[in-house]
Amino acid sequence: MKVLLFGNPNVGKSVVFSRLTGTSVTSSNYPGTTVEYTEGYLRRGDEVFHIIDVPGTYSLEPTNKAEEVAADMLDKGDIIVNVVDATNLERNLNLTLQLLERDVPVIVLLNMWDEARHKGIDIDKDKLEELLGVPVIPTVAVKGKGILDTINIITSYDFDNYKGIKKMSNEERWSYIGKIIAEVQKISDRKHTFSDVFDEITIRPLTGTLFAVFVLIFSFLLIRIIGEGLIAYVTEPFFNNIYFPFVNYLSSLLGGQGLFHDILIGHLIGGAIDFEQSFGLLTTGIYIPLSAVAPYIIAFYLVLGLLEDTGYLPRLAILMDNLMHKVGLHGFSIIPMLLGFGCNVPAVLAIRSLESEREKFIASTLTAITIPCMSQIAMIFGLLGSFGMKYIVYLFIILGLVWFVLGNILNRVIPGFSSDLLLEVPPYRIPSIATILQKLWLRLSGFFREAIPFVLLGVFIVNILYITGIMGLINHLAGPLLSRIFSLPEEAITALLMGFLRKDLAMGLLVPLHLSAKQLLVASIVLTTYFPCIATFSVLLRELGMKNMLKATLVMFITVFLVGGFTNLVFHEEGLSLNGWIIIILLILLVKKFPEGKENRLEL
Amino acid sequence: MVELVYNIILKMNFIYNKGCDEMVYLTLNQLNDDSKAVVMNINGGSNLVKKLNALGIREGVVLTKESQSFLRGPVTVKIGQSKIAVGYGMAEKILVKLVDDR
Repeated sequence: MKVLLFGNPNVGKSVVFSRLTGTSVTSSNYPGTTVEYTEGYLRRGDEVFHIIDVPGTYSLEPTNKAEEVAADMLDKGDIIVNVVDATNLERNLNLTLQLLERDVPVIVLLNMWDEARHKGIDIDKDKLEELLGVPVIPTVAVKGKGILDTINIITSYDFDNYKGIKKMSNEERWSYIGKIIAEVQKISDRKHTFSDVFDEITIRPLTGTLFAVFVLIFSFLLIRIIGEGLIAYVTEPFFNNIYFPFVNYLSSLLGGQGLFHDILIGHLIGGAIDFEQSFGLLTTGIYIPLSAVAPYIIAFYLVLGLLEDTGYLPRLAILMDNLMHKVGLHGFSIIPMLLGFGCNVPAVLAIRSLESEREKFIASTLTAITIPCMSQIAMIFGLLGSFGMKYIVYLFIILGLVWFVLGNILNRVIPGFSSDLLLEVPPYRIPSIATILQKLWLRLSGFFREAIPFVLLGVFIVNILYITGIMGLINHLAGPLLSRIFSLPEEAITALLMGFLRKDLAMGLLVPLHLSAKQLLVASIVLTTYFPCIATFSVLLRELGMKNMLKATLVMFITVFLVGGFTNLVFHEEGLSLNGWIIIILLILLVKKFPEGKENRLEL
Repeated sequence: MVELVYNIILKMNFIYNKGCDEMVYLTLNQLNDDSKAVVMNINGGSNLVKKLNALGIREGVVLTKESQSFLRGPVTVKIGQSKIAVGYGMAEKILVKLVDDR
C-alpha cells in the first residue's frame, strides 16, 4: 500500500517521514528542502507500507518544479497523510481541502502542536475532524509524539466509507476555510516575546544588515576555529602518534622502496614518511580526506545546520534580494550558494527549485565557477593560510568580485526571465541538538562515501602516470602555457588534471612544489574557477543539459584565464597593486554601462 | 523590557521608510510599515495570482505590512499567523486599501 506524505513546505513532512520509516533524511527550517521525493518502508506485522515523502506544495495547481512533482504523485497513492502546520492552520487548509476534493483517502496530522499551544493557538481537534470528515491527529514529529496514533490509523483505515468533499473554486474554498477557522480555532492575545524582538532585529533593513554581516563573519570564524581545533587536537595527534608508527612499520616491511611501496606508502621525504608529500594510498590518500579536510567539513555543516534549523536563512534571503537581483537571481538563491561552500553537488541540486531556465543557468554557473567547496577551502586554509590570513581574505575578495562581475554580465546577456522573491518566512525555532548532530552525521558520511574513493583513485592515477612517465610528457607539453600565463611551475599541471577528480587532492598536489604565497593564491583561484570536479560536473550535466553545460564550460575557461592571469599580473606580495584596483573599478563601471534589458523580472 | 526594546527597534527602522497613507489605493510597497490593509486587486497574470493565492495573498484578505528593505527590496507582510516576503516587482502589482483600526 502506498502512503503519500503531502503538505505545505516546511511543515515537517520529512521529520514525519523519518519517524515513520526510521530512515534519516535532511530537514531544515526553510521551505523547499525536499525537491525530489524520498521513499521508505514501514513494516507492521505482515503488512508493508510504502511511504513517499512528497515535495512540499502550497496548492495542487503547480507553480514550480517541486510542486509539479507533488501534483503528479497524487494519483499514485492509496492514502494521503496530509501534514499540517498547526501554527498556521488557515493557510494550510487550502491544500487540505484541495486534497479532499480528490478521490484518495486523507488523514490530517496537526503537526507542531506544542508550538501552536505555546503561541496561544487553540484548535478544537474533534470539531475539525467532524467538519473535514477525516481523522485528525495532533503530532509533534520532532519529539515523536502522535506518530504511533498515525500508524494505528493508517493500518485500520476504513477505505470503503471514505467520501471527500465536492470540488470548489478558489473563492468558495477560501470562504469555506474562513468558516472552519471561525469554528475550530481560538487565538489568545499574547505579548511580544523575545523571539519576536529578535525577528524584528534580523528582518528590518537597518539592523538586519548589520546582523547579517555579524552572522557571516561569526560563522566564518567559528568554522575556522572549530576546524583548526579539530585538526590540532584530534586528527593531527591521531595521525602522528597512532597511525604513523603503523605505516612506518609497513614501509620498512616493504623495504622502503619499489613499485608497491611507491603506490601504497609513496616516496620517503628526507628518509621518512611525510603525510602531505609522500603521496601513497595509505599516507596522503588517507591523510587528505580524514585529517586535513574532514575537520572543516564537520565545522561547516555544524554551523550550516545551526543556521538552517534556527530559520535564519530565509531572513538572509530577504536581505540579499537586492544584491541577488543584480546578478539576475532573487534572494532565495543565496541558500543554494551557501550550500555550495559545503559541496557544489547539493548546491546544484537545490538550484532546481529556482523557477526559470535562465535563473538555473546563472545560479549553477556562478556556483561552479566562484564558490570553492569546503574540501578545497580546508586545503587552502592549510596551504595559503600558513602565509597569513590576509591571503585568504584576498582570495575571497577576488572570488567575490568575479561573482559580481560575471553575474552582472550573465544577467545582461542571457535572455529569458527571472522571477521575484516570494517566500514564506518561518518562525525562529531553537534547534534540537539531536537533529543537528543527526544531520551532521548524514552529511559527513556522505562526504566520506564521496571523498575517500575519489581521493584514493586520484592518488593511484597520479602514481601510475608518474611511474609510466606520461606525467612528465604532459608537464612538458602543457607546462609552458601554465608558466607563461599563471607563473606556475610546469608540475602544477598535475594538480589541474586531478582537479577533475577532487579539488582537495589537487590542492594537495601543490604541497611538494613549494610555491610562493602569490603562486599559491593564483593556483587556488585557478583551481576554484576552473572546471568543476567530476561529481559536480555530472549533476550539472544532468540539470542543465548538454547545450547549456557546454556554454557554462566556455564561460568557465574564459574566466579562469582572465582571472588567473589578471591576479598573476597585478598581485604583489603585499596585495593588489594600484593598477589592479583601477582595472577592477573600471571593470565594475563598465559592467554597469553594459546594455541592460534582457532581464524581465516577472513572467506575467 | 522586551516591549520597550521592540518599540525602539521599530522606531530605528522607521526612518528608512517613507510611505504615504493619504491615497485610497496603494501598492503594497507604498504602504507604511506596521499598517494594516486589505488587498483590493492583484494586477498581474494568472500565474502570479495563482502563486500569491497559494500563499494566502488574495483579494479581500487583510494583511499587515511588517517591513520593507531599502533599494527595491522585498516587502514582508503578515497574514494571519504566517509571515511572507514578497519581492519588489510583485509587491508593485498588489493594490491595497488602508484599514483604519485606530
